[in-house]
Amino acid sequence: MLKIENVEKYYGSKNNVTKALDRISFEVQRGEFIAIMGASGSGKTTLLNCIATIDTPSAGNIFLDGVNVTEIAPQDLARFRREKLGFVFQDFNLLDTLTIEENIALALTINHVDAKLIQHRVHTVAEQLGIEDVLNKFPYQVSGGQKQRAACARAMVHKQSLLLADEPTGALDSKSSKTLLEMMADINRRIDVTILMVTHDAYSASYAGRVLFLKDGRLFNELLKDTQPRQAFYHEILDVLALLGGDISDVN
Amino acid sequence: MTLTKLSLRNARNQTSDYLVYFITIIIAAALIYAFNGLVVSNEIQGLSMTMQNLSYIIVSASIVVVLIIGWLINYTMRFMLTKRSRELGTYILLGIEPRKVAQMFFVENLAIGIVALGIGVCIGNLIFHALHAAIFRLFSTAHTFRFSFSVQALGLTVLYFAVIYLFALLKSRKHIRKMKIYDLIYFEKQNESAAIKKSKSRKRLFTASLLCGIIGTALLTTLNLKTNLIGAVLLIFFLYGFFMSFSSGIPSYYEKRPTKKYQGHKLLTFRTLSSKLSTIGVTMATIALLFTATLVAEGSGMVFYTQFQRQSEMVTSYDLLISSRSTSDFSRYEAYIEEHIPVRQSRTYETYEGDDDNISQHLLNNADYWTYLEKDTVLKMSDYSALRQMLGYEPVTLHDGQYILHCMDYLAPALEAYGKEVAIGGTLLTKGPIYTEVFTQYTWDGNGRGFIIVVPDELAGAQPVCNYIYAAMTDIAVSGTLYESLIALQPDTTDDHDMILSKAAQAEENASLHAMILFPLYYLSFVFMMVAATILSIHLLSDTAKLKQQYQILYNFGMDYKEMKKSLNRQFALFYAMPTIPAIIICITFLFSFIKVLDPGTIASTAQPFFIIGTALLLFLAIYAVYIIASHKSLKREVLPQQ
Ligand SMILES: Nc1ncnc2c1ncn2[C@@H]1O[C@H](COP(=O)(O)OP(=O)(O)OP(=O)(O)O)[C@@H](O)[C@H]1O
Ligand SMILES: [Mg+2]
Repeated sequence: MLKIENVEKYYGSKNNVTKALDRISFEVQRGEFIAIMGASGSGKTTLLNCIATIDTPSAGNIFLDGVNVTEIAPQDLARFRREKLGFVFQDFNLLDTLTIEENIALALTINHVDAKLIQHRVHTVAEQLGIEDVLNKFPYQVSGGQKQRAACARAMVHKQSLLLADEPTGALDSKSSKTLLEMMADINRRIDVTILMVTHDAYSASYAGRVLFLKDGRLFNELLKDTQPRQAFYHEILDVLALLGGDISDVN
Repeated sequence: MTLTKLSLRNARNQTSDYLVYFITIIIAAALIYAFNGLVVSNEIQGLSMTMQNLSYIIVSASIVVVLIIGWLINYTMRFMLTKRSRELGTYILLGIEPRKVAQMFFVENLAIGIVALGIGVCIGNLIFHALHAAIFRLFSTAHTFRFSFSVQALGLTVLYFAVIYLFALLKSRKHIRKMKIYDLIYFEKQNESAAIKKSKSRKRLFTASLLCGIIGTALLTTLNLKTNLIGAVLLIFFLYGFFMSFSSGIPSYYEKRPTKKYQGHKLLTFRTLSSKLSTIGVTMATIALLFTATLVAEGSGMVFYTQFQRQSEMVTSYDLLISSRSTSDFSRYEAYIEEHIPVRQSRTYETYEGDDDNISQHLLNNADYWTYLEKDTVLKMSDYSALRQMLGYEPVTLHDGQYILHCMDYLAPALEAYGKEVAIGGTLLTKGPIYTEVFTQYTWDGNGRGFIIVVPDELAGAQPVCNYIYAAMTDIAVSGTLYESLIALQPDTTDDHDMILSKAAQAEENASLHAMILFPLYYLSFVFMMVAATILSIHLLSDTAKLKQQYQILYNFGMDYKEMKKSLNRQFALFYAMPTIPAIIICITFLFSFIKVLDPGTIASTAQPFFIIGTALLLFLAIYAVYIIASHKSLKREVLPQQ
């Protein structure tokens, strides 16, 4: 479904270049649940942004359902994003002036979903994520974890076929993390939503079917879960992280 | 880096954020300087006795202006303070004393103020010269341009500004000292806190304010000072009540109708607007109030202008007219005139009383008309022809057995409809043509009150005399001392004064009124308008960063560019329209009734009220448009993500 081909991304001017992505290539099948791990600054967010067409790669191609997203005309990009992609941003990106409920509903109104159905759908997702109590509050009135769950709810409420999540569990306690991850695994299994999730946390990554490791903008390693139980996969991930070294010290 | 340097750099950065504000302060300083220049100008004061009143009026207007500008500066300073609370809070957190921070903040603002004052005074000097020339034009006095700079006016302007800033200093210092670091850092996070929370009391307030609005507007149309004042108070209550209840009312309206909320992109518009309004409901009301004042002042100015224009035309068509009820002996004046006033052409004649007052009665019943004369007025054909020739009008003929009607233009339609015969000394005459050139018919001392019946000499001559008239066209303007000397020649009888009318004297009086009423009115309305529009723009532009972030998020979520543009435009339009709509409604109702009480005949056609009100609105909207376009451009460029 998704094919990344020699994607490169440079930031900065000629004499001061940061190479955020360095010839990355991989393929994702429909219905896969992939975790992306790597040290801070290794290019994870950049990769997600390129796939989401929020950023454009400096070189290389990204194919989604056979369409080269780097070649989509600017006027069609918006439509592409709202119909195909659900996105959880690292810094939540909730609108301050809207309540949590309205923030979640936004994903639906943008897609012109029938106004009568919206409230019900929002409430269902919110209930699953345990944030139904804060629906009528404004972002500045809720905690960081509640905001993060709201951002996830927004990304999942319309059930787009590709879900990109940038550290969706970063601000969550282990119980809320578990709920969220199970929900993601559930929509992944039941309705075939393909998921790419960035995480620093081996526990979260163990929910995925495959883990990609980035280092300095390069694809460093890849782990497959196959049939092994999650517990075993978790330890395997920890081993690779130890090998990677560097910044990931907060593994638990 | 020293603190002074830091604050000066901040001031420079701020200037671009608050460019509109900066320009408004410049223009305000310019206007204050220019008008105070008129007050202290000896030349202007020497133009006419009444011009001394201009000083009092302008000084009073300036006090109002200082209050309003003071409010603007204070408001903007407090506004910047909250917008920059995080920055200032960080300074305090880093250990700079709050006193120092307050001082720094004030130095920044003072720097902006001083620069604005400097530029303003330079521009003000140009405006002063323009006003100066305009006043001389009004008085038809030769004006030689001489560049001058008034130290007194500068002193007054600096004094006004010093008062404003001293006040602002005290207030902002108090404000900063009272602030806690927590509030400073978290201030900008708070966006929606409704002024009135209980929905029942809000509904009541909303209904009450609407009611007050309607009653207030109705009272404003009564044109009786007492009821007008009550009306004005009610309208103020209406504006504040309306904006306070309305702003907190929208969220609860949509809360109850979620389906409506999620239709199309209403959600964004309503939320941005309600979060704005709930914090600035009171400000919105003040802005609406200022707009109302602007429109009423501008519109009244237009009405007065029309009145003056029309009056100097209508009062007398002759350069000089002396009219008496009792005697045909004008010798006392003639001696003076012969000596001092070169006369091109003159005529002494009489107007006579008709047999009845049928035509006056007809007009009283069918037109906006008044009269104190008991009989219709009649004029000899020979006098009529001579007077027409003297005034340079086309010659006309009177057919046998007919009478001519000469009337003020606005009475013509009513007289067209009058077809009856007129009896003069028992002889019946049928109706002939009607003429409507200006013919000294505005008061009853000239050629009839509003109209005159022209008949053959022998018929008129047998009737009782109504007025004895001396009319002249002169080579010089009979104004100033010439006119005053003629007035002084009147006999000292208490009853039955002679009436002395001079076109030039009338024009001079109108010019003074013009200068005294119109200039201050426009001065005030201009300042009101600018201050209100500035505060609106500051509010909108200071939200640029927030809006930009919002639209970036929407863009990331795949909202269409077109839809984003539409949504932004809608928010923008609503924001600017909101305070103007009540102002326009109030102003239109007021002006229509104001026009109604003008002297009959001032308004020549039914289209004219619309023209006057239209011009006032256009003027208002033109200035408003400058602010709207400027902020719209910058907003659109900054806020919408690049495609
Ligand atoms: N807009 C930008 N301009 C310049 N450099 C950037 C920009 N965005 C990211 N970078 C740089 O690119 C590199 C990769 O950044 P990226 O945000 O992808 O890291 P990340 O893996 O998401 O890190 P983290 O785990 O801390 O979120 C970093 O070195 C970063 O400094
Ligand atoms: Mg990141």
